[in-house]
Amino acid sequence: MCCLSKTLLLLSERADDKAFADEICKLSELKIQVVRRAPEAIKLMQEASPQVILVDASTQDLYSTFEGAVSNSLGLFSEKVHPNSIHFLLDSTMSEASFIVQSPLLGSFVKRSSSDPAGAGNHYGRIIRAGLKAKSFGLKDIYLEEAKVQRIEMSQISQKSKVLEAVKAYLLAAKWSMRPTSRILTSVDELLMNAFYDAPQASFASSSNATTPALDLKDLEQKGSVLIDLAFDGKYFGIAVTDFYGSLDKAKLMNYISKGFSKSEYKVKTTTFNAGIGLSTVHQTGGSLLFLCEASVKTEAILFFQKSDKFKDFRNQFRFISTQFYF
Amino acid sequence: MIQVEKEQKGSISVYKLSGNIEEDTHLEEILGPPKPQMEIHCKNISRINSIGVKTWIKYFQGCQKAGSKITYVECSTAIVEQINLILNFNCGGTVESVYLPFSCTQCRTELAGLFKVVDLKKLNMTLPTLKCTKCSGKAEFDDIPEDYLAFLNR
Repeated sequence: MCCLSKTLLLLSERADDKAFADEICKLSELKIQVVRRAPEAIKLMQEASPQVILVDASTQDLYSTFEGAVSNSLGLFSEKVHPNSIHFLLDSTMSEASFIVQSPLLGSFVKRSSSDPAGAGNHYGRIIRAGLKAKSFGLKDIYLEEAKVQRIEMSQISQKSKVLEAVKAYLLAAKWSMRPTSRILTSVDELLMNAFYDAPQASFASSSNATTPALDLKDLEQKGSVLIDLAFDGKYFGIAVTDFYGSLDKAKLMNYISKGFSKSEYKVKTTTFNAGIGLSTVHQTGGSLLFLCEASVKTEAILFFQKSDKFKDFRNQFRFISTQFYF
Repeated sequence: MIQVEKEQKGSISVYKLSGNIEEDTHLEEILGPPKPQMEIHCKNISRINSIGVKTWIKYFQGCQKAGSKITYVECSTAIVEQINLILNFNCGGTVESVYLPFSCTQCRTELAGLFKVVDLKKLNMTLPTLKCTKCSGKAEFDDIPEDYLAFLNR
């Protein structure tokens, strides 16, 4: 029996996936084990527990083969199968790959970088490296010494404009151009709204007036304020929004993110304050999302954006949606 | 915070909006009741968040139901993005003109060029270059045409 406890298992035939995985391994000090067929991957998962599993899920067939093999040999809910460690690699966006959205195996969704798989692996490797800790929270775990992390503390939603102004000033000082800055601000705005209005869902659901926010400072003071951390290493800007509710539901989260309204009408719900399109907007903005949640303790939503000279490169940047749930 | 400048041009009620549309924006208070012909100038709308989108659709759907003829003029990139993302963002209105983002190939200055929708349709995704206002260099369209102009094909 081999020991794969410090191994990255790659189930893929593609050279770009290998280049991506190699960079991750370099950064997180993992050994790579490449297999081409799902049964071989299952065998390795049975024998030991690779810490990271990358799976080519470019097509529904590839995904279904893997899911079927896991289901038949290990069981979808076996302790050998932890979604935190499973990363699906695709060429499409999450909204285009509906087959993966409700997968019980989904931990992370990675849209490949067609132009620079190794560079993407270098960035994603930091997420993997941080995730190897028992519980990973905070930009400091991700950037380590590569960037200084600055913190803003927010105790009420009325401070949002000032926080967004501060983020804008930070980006402009770092020579980001205006249009990506605007887009980033929209995404941060949505995450702040989520942290204030959506995280404490139980309290919010009891609101009788759906046109105005149901919660205010007194609700938040019970568990502290919202923290905003930001860092920029010259290539990637990261911003983390942390609330102290820990009420994130993965299935709902993925549903919200993957929703699209460009082909079907958006219907205004007057029974809720939120619009139901915030996370979808964040996803469409073009950055990457990492959600870290410790049940009933805290939720951290982190956005990453790659700096580009041209906006069209910004739009086409390497992207992922990754989750780590701790119970 | 959103601000509005109102004027009446014959039978057309003109509204010039500027600022961000967010959770504290109450369009029914700012714009008032629906009018038969409404021209909404969007040049200076810099951002709109999800609650702002909900507020926008709720208000303009009300106008649509009341029989208003709505025209959106000089739509900023923030508004064009929403028009593309949300099928019914226009609420039955007509998009007359939009700003297109350009970037100078020499000095990287960001520029915005105003185009009439009717003219854009004729261009068939082949967009012209502009002259940079800062260095006179060549400014190219800086987005993905099929995405930014997706609304033209609806």
